[in-house]
Amino acid sequence: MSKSRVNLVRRGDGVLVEATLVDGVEPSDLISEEDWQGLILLKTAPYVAHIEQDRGRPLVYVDYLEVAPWNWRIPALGEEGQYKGIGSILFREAVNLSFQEGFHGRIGLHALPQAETFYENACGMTAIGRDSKKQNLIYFEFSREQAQKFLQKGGDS
Amino acid sequence: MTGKTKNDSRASDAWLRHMADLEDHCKSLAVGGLAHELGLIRPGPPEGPRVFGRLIEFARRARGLSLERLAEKADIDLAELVALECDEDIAPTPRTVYQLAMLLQLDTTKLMVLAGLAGAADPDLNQAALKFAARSEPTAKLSTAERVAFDEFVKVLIERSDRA
Amino acid sequence: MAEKRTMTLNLTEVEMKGLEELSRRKDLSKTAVIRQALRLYQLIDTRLQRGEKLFFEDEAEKKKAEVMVV
Repeated sequence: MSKSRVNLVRRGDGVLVEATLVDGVEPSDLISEEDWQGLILLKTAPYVAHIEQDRGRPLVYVDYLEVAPWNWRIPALGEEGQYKGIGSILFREAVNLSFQEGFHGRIGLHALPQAETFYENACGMTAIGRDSKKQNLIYFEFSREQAQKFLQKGGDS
Repeated sequence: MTGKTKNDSRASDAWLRHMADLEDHCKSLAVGGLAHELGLIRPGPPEGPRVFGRLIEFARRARGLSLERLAEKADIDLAELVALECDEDIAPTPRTVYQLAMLLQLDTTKLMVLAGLAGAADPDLNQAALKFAARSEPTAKLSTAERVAFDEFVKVLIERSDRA
Repeated sequence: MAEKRTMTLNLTEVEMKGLEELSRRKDLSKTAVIRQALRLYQLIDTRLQRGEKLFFEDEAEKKKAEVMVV
């Protein structure tokens, strides 16, 4: 079970990033900080890959991903948000964890409908199919190659 | 020596800028896992009043205002404000929307649309509203007491994630 | 990444073979296999403690068999 928090430098000063992976912390010890910017909850068990070449092999499952409200960009309301790319940074941590665990970057997640574009296009994941056990949300996975590509180049627009 | 790839776990500036741009252009990156367990997923498009209420709560908390303080400053009925933020079915009166827009420095027209009081058909707004509505509780700049409550929420999330 | 502590593990010939087979099939290092096994054990144990039961289901044969875990 890993939790990740991100500390960032404001946009104007460039994009220097430090991501802190918090592992094995008891929930009772978790204290939110002034500069909490996003939260990701990852599971290293018991999820396995459905993707053909690595079927049945373990992957990192993204259970929850949230960007702090003060970072949301809502153009219709003129809200630009304080920091950019928090979601991507946290998601990258998930991929890093997957490599560290020996899962070669494999990731699995169920995307909400409005997030399908991000995971399929912006990240380059494969849509495996709709999961009837999860309100017909689409289940996405990263293959090893896709994970590598994501780390190196990011996604395609 | 096998062809094991040495992956660079630190993101380059270029990568960050690129992904931040892509992320900005996507509506959302919300995942289902735990949200599904906690019943946070709302099927279908959001209804105006509910999103409106959540937006007011967000804007209020971002300015560190309590419900009482906001009602006082906006010169609106506290009971109505409470109902707006908490009750999904209550629609605000035009005066309330206007007062809140003025005080919280939000676009009056857009807020009216969100509140369901004006003709819609602004796709950007709908997208933003949808993104907003799919989130869990907004937590911008909370007081100590509220941060404690937020910490509890995060703990519950983690505990539920561990149990699921 | 969290701090790690080292442990020495003594396995029998059979156990080692099993570990190597899993390692090969899952394309994981032996260490990674052990860590996964530990997580699964914890997961299962936690739920059993809560009073839940663990089953294997054979959809084709329409059979369900309870798994007894010590």
